Amino acid sequence: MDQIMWIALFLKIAVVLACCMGSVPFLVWFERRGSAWIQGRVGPNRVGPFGLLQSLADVLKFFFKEDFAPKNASRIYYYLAPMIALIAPLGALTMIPFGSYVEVAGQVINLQIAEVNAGVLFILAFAGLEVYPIILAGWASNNKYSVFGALRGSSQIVSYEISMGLALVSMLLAYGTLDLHSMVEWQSSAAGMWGCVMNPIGALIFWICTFAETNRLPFDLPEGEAEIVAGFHVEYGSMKFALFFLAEYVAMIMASALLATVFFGGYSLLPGFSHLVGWVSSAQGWPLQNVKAFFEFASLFLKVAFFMFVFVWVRWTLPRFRFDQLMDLGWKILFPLAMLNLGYMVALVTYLARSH
Amino acid sequence: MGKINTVNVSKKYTFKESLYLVAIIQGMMITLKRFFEGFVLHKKFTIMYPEERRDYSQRFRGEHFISIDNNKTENCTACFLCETVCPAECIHIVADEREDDQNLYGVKKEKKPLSFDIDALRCCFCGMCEEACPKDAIKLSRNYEMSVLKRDDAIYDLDHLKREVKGLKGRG
Amino acid sequence: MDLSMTLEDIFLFAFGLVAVGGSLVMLFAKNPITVALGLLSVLLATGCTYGLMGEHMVATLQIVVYAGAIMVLFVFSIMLLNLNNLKFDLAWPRVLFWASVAGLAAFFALICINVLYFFQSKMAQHQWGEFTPEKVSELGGNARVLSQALFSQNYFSFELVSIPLLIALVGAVVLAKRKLN
Repeated sequence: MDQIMWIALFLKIAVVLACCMGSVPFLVWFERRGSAWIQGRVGPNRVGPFGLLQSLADVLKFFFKEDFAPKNASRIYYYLAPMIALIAPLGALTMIPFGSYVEVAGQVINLQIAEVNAGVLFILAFAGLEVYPIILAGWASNNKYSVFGALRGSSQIVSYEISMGLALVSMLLAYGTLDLHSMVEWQSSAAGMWGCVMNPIGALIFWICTFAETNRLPFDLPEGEAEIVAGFHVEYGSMKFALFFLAEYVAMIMASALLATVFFGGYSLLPGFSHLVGWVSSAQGWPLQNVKAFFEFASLFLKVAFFMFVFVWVRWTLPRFRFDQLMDLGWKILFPLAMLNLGYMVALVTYLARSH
Repeated sequence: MGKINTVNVSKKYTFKESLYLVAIIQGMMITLKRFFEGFVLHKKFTIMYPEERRDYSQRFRGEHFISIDNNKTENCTACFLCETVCPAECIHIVADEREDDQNLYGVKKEKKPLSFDIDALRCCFCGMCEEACPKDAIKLSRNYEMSVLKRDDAIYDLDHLKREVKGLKGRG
Repeated sequence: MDLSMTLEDIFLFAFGLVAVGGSLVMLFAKNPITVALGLLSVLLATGCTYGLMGEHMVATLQIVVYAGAIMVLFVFSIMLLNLNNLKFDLAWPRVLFWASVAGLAAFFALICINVLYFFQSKMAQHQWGEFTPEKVSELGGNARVLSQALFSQNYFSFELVSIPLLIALVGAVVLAKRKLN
């Protein structure tokens, strides 16, 4: 009985890791190919069909590059930084529920790796840890450009975390829980609606903040090539750089999953899927709940895929912000807006509570 | 001094403009359109280089060569006009006397280059050597693929310059 | 069940070792960044220990507040001030040094004895405060209980705590401004 839970846990970890890490090469390919399509170019199309194996070739190249470290770098932190960079978003990813539950051999298995009742706080905690790799990498590699990148990156992440947290808090008011499972249940229940319908401004603020948190354009100042070469990872080569690269994409996946879960219904079925569930389960004779769980996973996957597309789309549309513009946006626009939005949500939640 | 009228073109943003979001969404729509043009219609402005090539003009000035006669003897008489006129000073000639048996087909060439080096890394491809040459010996071909693996390979010697070059319709 | 127990024990020991090691690093390291990161590892390890005990709320608060916010500021300011060049030369007499080491060792031994005694005594195992796990889950989870306690019963002291922060803020501004003039 207990063994099933252990096997299920390892399977869940394997599924999440496979989906997350396995999609990164595809995402890198899509980032390059998509940018090419947007700019009227062709993009990488030579390695494998449609150039899909280009990322694989890149990884091979990273493996065979010299593992170089600058002479005066602080060795421990220099090597520690890329590891933390990858661990923090992966840790946050364990809190995301990717389906309601499946029933195997009479056992109910929740589709969430870490069943923590304060899931949102945990994700915030791990998001807060994402500052450290940037600071450490910038400081330890003993390079002025990387220190500039680290300063920019850390101050940017710290500032945007506030608006992000406030947008999240406004949704917590509505859901009345810190548990991501119950949030999704709330949104998919008959009385509920997607968070973005109830709180569009909060969703927008949160969405903008995810761009800043993951250091993506238009907020990729920590690695602004034009001014500071490559920012905090100037001195990183070979697999260490690849880890940073991987971490960026994992962080993007994590942010998209969180955005989908809190504001866009999470794993709740996309419109039309509920009919599909009934049809498939009756046609194949499979248990309804397990089929439903599969389609819930597919729903979340599609939502995350959409947000990843938006990440790429925005990257090749908007130019980079200047640092003061970035800080102005964060502190003078998003922060007051998030506060006002919080007031609006308080009013809305009280009104809804009174009317029921 | 006359008075210069200046116009201050900077203006305060209207409320709609100061929201930025409208402009951002407009821009995103444009890139989305471009994305689907590339994704579905394969519209592109670039070419697949080694397979496809751009058609450069007939007068394109590329890699140098020295024309040769039917006897594979270079037409150059080491007159030093090209070396003199070269603004980049990339041509270096060492002259020598030509043996009589090399002067076939009634063409009198009393001097010949012992060595004829062109430093392609210094050359600015202005074509003035070509203009100056009285024998139409030095010419610029239409070849633009001149990458080399060593710096030394970019200094063309006589053997390299005397190669046979085809496809020079407009540049006789 | 057996497997999970042993795993938990292993993790508990690992986090304990990290915490003790981190605090030693914090005490004895010379590089300010190393000191800050030693402290960070202590905070993270304690957070993980709370999590291991099932107190997810306390664990997250530990990580969010200390590791995510305060230590970032520490590291940030150390980086900005570039404290690398500071040298701490404590010219202590040898006797005093060994005396302090002996004192520390005695203090540590005292703590160890105390902890061991408490863990063995039955009193420690059965002594619960007002909020037992059953009562907390009955009241609707850690977050709810904590915030209700914080914002209703202890609201005054909660607000009172913010005054020192305000004072510190004003003081920092005053100090910064004076330097400018």
